[in-house]
Amino acid sequence: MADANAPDRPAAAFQNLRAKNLSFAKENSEFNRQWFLDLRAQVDAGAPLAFVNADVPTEIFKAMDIPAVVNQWWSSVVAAKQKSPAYLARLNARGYRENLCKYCTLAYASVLEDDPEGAPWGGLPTPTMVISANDCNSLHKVFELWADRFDIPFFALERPAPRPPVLDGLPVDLKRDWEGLFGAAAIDAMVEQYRELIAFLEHHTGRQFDPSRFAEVMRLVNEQEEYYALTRDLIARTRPAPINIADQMPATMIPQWHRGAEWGRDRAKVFYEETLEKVRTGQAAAKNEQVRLMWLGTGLWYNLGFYEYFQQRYGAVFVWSIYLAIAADAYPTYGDDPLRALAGRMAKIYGILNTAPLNVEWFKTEARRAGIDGVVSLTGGTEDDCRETFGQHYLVRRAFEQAGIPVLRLGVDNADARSWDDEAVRARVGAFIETEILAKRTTVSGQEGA
Amino acid sequence: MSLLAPFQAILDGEAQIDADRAVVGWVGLDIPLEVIDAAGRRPVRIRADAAVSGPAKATFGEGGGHPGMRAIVSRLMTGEDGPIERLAIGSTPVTGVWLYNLLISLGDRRPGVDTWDAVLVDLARRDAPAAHVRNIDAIRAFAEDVGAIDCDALLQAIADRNALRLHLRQVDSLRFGPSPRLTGGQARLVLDAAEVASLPTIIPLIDALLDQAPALPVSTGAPVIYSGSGGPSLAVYRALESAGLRIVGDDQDYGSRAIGPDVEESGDPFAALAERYRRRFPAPAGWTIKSRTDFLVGLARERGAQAVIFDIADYDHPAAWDLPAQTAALNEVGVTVRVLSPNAWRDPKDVAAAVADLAYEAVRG
Repeated sequence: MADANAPDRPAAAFQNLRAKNLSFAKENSEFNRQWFLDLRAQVDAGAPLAFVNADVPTEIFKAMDIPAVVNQWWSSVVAAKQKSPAYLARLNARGYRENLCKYCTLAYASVLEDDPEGAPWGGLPTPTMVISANDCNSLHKVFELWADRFDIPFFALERPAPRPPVLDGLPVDLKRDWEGLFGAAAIDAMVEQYRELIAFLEHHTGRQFDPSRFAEVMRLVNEQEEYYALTRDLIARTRPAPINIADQMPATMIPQWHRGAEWGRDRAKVFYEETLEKVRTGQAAAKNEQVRLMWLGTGLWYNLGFYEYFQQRYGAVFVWSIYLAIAADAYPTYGDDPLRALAGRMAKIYGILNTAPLNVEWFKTEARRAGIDGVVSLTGGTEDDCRETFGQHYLVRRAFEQAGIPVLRLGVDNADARSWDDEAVRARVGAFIETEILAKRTTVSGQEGA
Repeated sequence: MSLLAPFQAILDGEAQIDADRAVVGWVGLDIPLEVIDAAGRRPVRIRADAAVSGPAKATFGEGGGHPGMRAIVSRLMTGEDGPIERLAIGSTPVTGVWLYNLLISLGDRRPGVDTWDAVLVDLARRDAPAAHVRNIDAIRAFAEDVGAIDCDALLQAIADRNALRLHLRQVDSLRFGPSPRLTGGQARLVLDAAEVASLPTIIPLIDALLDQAPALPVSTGAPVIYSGSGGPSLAVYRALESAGLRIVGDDQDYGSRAIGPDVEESGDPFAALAERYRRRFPAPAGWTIKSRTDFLVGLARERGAQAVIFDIADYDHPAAWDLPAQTAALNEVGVTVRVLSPNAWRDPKDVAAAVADLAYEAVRG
């Protein structure tokens, strides 16, 4: 993910000068930056460039050696460079209203930049094709705008609905029983589209899909994700937590975008080993850890320092985010047919994050595993959210309530700095910690004492 | 107009209709109603008005959420559509999938809502041979679910629905052309009533209206297309027409676009239904900006519209992505564009003022 502390970052509106607590964080950022510069050079030399949404399986591109940039990754770079207000304003000036999805459109807004010098990392090279699935009702339209702007082909994937989901808790083996979970028909439909995508890529790039290379990519991805699973489990069972999510998120996501490469696997291994070393030597995000918090939603990439404020004030540590946990549970996927396994992986990622009742059961299970005292949810509180759902917050809150865990909803946007009032949000989270967690804990222990 | 009173009575639930037929509720224009007809059930559209919060807001609405989806849940909770044997939900827009997931997640069925026996009709939107085959299978599975697997009965139901669509197109045409006889609101009453009544009930009523139509006074008002976020409420419609406009067509989920294309009456009925699905008219969710723009420009031209009134609710994101391209294309062909407040669906009081100049210009012109 983006390096929020990159040296060319303009004066920021946020206090984001947090210390990095993992020794390799800078190396990861530098690798990422160099990877992007290399990618630019390749594209300048005539290589194809695929611009893809996060719901597109990049494993296929990796196997075909087609450079790919992920929409949400580039959005996070733009957000971390504090460019979102200016870029989104350009989009709005073209008639697109302000409440449309920012995370999935900030990258498109960034190509409206008419000063390449001012663009993050020199700007995104012009893609030669765009690919997206339809995780919401608007994504295909956003990618249609990309295709129109650059007059390039667009491949639209479509997500089939899974068979009626299991209502009795999480399936035991998410790594292998994905077909049982989603149904053969849904997996068949995805595999069918992946074959069409491969043909599309071969046609537009002249590069060939090599099944044995693809199998190797899948093997590397699984190895990488298993390291994340080890790290997730380690943090979940360690009190006090060795690191918070401000460190976890970049350590997970920078290599995650490079999954299928040996570098990605190796950095996940380093991440695990260094976390393990911290545990062995008693290092912690907050030595006086009092409260363990879950951050539910996408990352606050433009303000990672936000998470650390509460450690100092309350000993409250954000120990859980979707990024490491989804890497641990949704990505590792095994099966005899690598393309089917890939479909299983992508179905799991979407299902675990977005599809009730599966996501609700997973959140609850993860909260128990990590010893969560309270949940802070990024979204919610509005009627015009771009996710276009209803009742989701009720289901999630009900599940946490059953587990005795309070929930706070912030109702802010992770990519649009314009929606962020740092002081107000800190006050709300602080009040939540004080009244919903610490005060009730005091009451309970007082009652027990009496 | 007394000719329209029976349609209003149907929509208000005051007419005693079709009591002998069990109801299959439906959400989403892609549900193949012919399948429900063939099963001897009455398909009833769940007419959820987003502006009506209803009990779902208090019960499940914490943290906000999509008002259209909320209204459907409220309608189910209040039981306004009577006992519903089965609830068929289409997977387009994706909102339908989330609605289905919510309903089946509410494991602790509450009093009065034990009729939420939902089935998801998951049809692929891709225009690919494999997707077409998959859609045939999905429609067949839906037919098995509601008990309509008799091909002859299904072919008859297809013919009957085609006949209804012909009637509806005739009604729709009464609001545009040189001598329109209905206002947009009047046409919508009829089209909407056809979505809740059975064919034997609605067709004779429409025949009576069509017989009398030539004798009706000519409907006046500046002709406009209404591109609204969808919903059964006629509040904005009425506000626009009271301001001197005449709505001659709709391009979203209620009214003109909801009629849709016919179904081939021979061959494999399941394949024919899937083929109709493939040829359906573009909606904001699920179709490209280009197809939406072409459709709207074509509709405006066909109906001689002077303007298009966009009533895109703040919660309606797909339509908002279409808007800039649609505006540019309409301006290019000389059609005026007016965009209402994204809150007009909540409170239409400012709607008339927002379009008053259009009616004035039409009168002057």
